[in-house]
Amino acid sequence: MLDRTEKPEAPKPQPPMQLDRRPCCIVAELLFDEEDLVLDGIVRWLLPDRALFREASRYILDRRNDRVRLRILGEDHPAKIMGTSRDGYEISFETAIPAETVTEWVDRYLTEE
Amino acid sequence: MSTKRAIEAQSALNSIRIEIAKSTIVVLLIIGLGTWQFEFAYKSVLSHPQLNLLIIFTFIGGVVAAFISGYRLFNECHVLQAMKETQHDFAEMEKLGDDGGVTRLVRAAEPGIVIKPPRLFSEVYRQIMSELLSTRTLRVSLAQRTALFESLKEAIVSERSLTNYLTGILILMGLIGTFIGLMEMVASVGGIVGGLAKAGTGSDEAIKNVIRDLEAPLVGMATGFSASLFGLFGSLALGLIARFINSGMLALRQDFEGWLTRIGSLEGQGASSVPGVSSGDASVVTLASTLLGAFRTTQGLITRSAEVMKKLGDRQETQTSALSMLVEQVESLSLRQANIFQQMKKLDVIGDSVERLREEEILRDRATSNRYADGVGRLSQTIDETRGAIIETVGSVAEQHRTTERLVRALELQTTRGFESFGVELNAVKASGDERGRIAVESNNTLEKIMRESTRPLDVKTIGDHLSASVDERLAAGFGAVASSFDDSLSRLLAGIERLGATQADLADRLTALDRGTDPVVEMRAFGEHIEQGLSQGLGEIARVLDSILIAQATAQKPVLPDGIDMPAPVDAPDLSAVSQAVNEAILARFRRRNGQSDA
Repeated sequence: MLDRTEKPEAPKPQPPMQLDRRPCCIVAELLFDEEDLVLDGIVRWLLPDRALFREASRYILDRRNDRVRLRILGEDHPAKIMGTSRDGYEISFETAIPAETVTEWVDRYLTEE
Repeated sequence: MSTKRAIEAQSALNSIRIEIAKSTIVVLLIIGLGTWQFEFAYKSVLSHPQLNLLIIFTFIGGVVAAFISGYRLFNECHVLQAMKETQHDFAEMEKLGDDGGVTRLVRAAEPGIVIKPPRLFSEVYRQIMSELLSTRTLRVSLAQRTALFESLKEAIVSERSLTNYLTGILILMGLIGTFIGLMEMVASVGGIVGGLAKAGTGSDEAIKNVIRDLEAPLVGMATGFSASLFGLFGSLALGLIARFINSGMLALRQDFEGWLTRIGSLEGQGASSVPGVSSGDASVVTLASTLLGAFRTTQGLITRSAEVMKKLGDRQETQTSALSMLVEQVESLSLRQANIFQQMKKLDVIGDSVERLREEEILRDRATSNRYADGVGRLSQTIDETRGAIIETVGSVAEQHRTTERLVRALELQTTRGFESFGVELNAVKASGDERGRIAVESNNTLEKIMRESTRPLDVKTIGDHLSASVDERLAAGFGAVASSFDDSLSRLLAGIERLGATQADLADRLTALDRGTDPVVEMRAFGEHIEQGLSQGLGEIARVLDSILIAQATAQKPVLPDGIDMPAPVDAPDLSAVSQAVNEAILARFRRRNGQSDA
């Protein structure tokens, strides 16, 4: 006999595609349009909306809220620097990169699993 | 090279650390002194606590500012190291042919050092990093180098200004305390003098009062001394600390200046050391390398100048061609301007001519109007005269009719009289003979026949009716012809006026198009002559119509009589054809005379 007090289980919404911060090594450039600067470096991890760019220098100038463009594999992605740490600049893209593209790039330039 | 650079970096950092350590030692000494003489310091502070505490806190603030400034030197040193490293990386990449910068990118795998935005090297860092990251090399001219040095020097002076100001402020506050104490002492001297006067009486109370009054100048002196002590001591200590920090800044500045100077030398040499040269000749080698670097820099400048001169030459050629084109344009412009001046002069002349034409046209219009009015008046007069002549003609015709009636009556009378004479003769003949009877009878028959023929009355009324009808018909035809001719003339006149209007519109168009080379005066005169000719033709046609009318009237004057009857000449009948011809000739003469005047 069915228990009438038991509620039928509602279908759970599918969670958005979650990507881990997998370490990668994508050669990229960070362009500062206002200062006419181009920093060469490496993207250490990449997500559809965020990335960590490590400048190819031992000294990292503290920057925050700077409008930049991250040039990855020839594509420019407008972004903003959210913060600076010893690991590099954490930037947030204005327009998210497709998850499939991110996955493809990260898989291609994955450094360690 | 990297080892040497690391050693230089370490030396700069060590220098800064040493200077900060010296400052720290000074501060510790002051703290130790204060601890050792705490009671004295405490009492000194209590002599004028507000002022002394203000001096002490100012001193502490200055010391903190100096230490912060010294601590920032580490960041400035990192900034300098960042510039050096970037320049070195690009130099190594160029040297090794590593365009991708793999050796440089390897560094990205390690955690870095976060540096704050520089204060001393702010402008220097911006310029040098911009140059390095955009061109991947650092070429600094002597002027740029001097400008960078000056920029750094100004930044250091600006950074040092706060501690220098606080040092001066400490001295000022010490002096203020001294003056305050002196003023208190001087103010209390008056009371002491008065107390001494009272003490002269030798009373105990007066002596106690004098002793109590002596405390006030002593307190004032304590205030002055303590403030001076704290102010001067604090100023000296802060000045010493600032000097140590300044030494660290100077060490950093010298490091930067040496690096920037070496860059020029290395650019000239392309190598960092010269093998085979002893250490004793190091200064000579350095000097030579510096000179060589300067020479290379100068050579580079000359090369750039040559390139610039070449570009200038190219531009000058372009400018020369442009100038020649400009000269041609200017010449063509001057020619066009001359043509424009000529056209404007012609326009002025044309304008004057148009003005004269306008005046002439007005006069001509007025004259034409007057002529039209005169012609119409004369035409009316002529019509009136013609009408009068016609009336006179009609009168003369009526008179002729009456004369004809009289003639008929006279003829009847004469016939009657003839018949009577014939009867008398017949009676005489009848009386004279019988032989002649038959002849007489025959004659009588003949006479009777003649009499019957003669006594048959003439139909004068019918003739008069025919004549009247003919005259009326002719007159009606003449008046119709006159009316039709008037209508034709008016229509032609209207057509001529319309043509005149059209011609005037054409003339206005022609006047609007002033750029034509023809003389409008001649055209207007020809147009006037054309109008005159048209008018003359129209009036001539009118005159011819009138002439035909008059001829028709003259023809209508002659009555049609039956055969066998002799019409006597009219008594007062005028010669209408001659009149008509005279009128016609007069009109033609007038028009010819008028045309001759207009032609003149």
